[in-house]
Amino acid sequence: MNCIIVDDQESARLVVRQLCDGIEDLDIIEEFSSAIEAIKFLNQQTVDVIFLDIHMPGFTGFDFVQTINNAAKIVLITSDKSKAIEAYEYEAISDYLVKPISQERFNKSIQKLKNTLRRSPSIPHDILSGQLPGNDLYINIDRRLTKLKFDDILFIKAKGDYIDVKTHKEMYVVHSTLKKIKDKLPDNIFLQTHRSYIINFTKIIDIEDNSVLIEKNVIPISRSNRPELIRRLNLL
Amino acid sequence: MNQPNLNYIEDLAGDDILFKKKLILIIKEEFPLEKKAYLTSYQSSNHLETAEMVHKLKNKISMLGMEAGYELAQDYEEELKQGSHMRHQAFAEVLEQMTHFIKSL
Repeated sequence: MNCIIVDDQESARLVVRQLCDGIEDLDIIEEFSSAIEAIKFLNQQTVDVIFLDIHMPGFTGFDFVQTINNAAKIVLITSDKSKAIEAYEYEAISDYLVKPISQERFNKSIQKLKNTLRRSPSIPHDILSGQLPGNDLYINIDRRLTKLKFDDILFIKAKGDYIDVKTHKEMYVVHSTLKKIKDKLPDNIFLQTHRSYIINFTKIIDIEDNSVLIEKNVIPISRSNRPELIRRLNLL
Repeated sequence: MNQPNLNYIEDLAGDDILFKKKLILIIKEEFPLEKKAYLTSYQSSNHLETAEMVHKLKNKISMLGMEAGYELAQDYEEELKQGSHMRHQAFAEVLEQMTHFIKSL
């Protein structure tokens, strides 16, 4: 099993490395002090197991789990006993180890992992669903159906019972909800970044911590939607 | 309060003296920085940031086998998240014990 370790503390990474040492079929191929660096790595390479700290600067282990597009099993390693219930809500999380971890407890976790992987060989996810949508959408404006190409839409903003559909040239006000239009948009181009915004992911010019820039429009990114945005970035 | 010790590290190391030496060296580097970061956050009265620092220090406390110190840190971290810092003095004493012990290694 190929593994990586993600923990911002060098001492903690060394302990995990030592715990892995001597376990047959367990190869640590890389370790990371930053979650973002690990995500970049995982965008390029598949691994079987990720040993992951929950508390890292600017990015929790749960953000990480939601962000990665990888079939790896995750073993959470933490000093925090209180997140165990939340952890088991994620299918990818195989175990939850509280520091200090004994060799015996670690070995049990690895055995459990081996059993799981034997039962269900990993299949890499595909970002695209495989469904090829049409290229356009009809919106009802003053009793006329107006055709918009998906590629022309920059973003959509919820505004009470209406939505604003912004294209390069126009702003259309449509009597609809964000949820309804979201169901009509292809997932591989559009992404909800905030409860009031859906953006055309291909139109992003710039990204800051809490916002993206599309043409001259600054669109907010909520904390809960940020991991999915980061997952989709082709990070260098 | 139980004293810091190397029981956990030695159990983990077994005959691997190199691992033990390397881990102690890293602890000697990381601990003073984490302690300083804790004190800076505490002095600035940023309770949430201070809780994060306590959380980070919990890893070292557990590595050094301080079970009572670990429990204290756990309670203190929760207390800080609630906006209080009554356990600061007791926690500072744990940090001082660790400081002396780590220096002696």
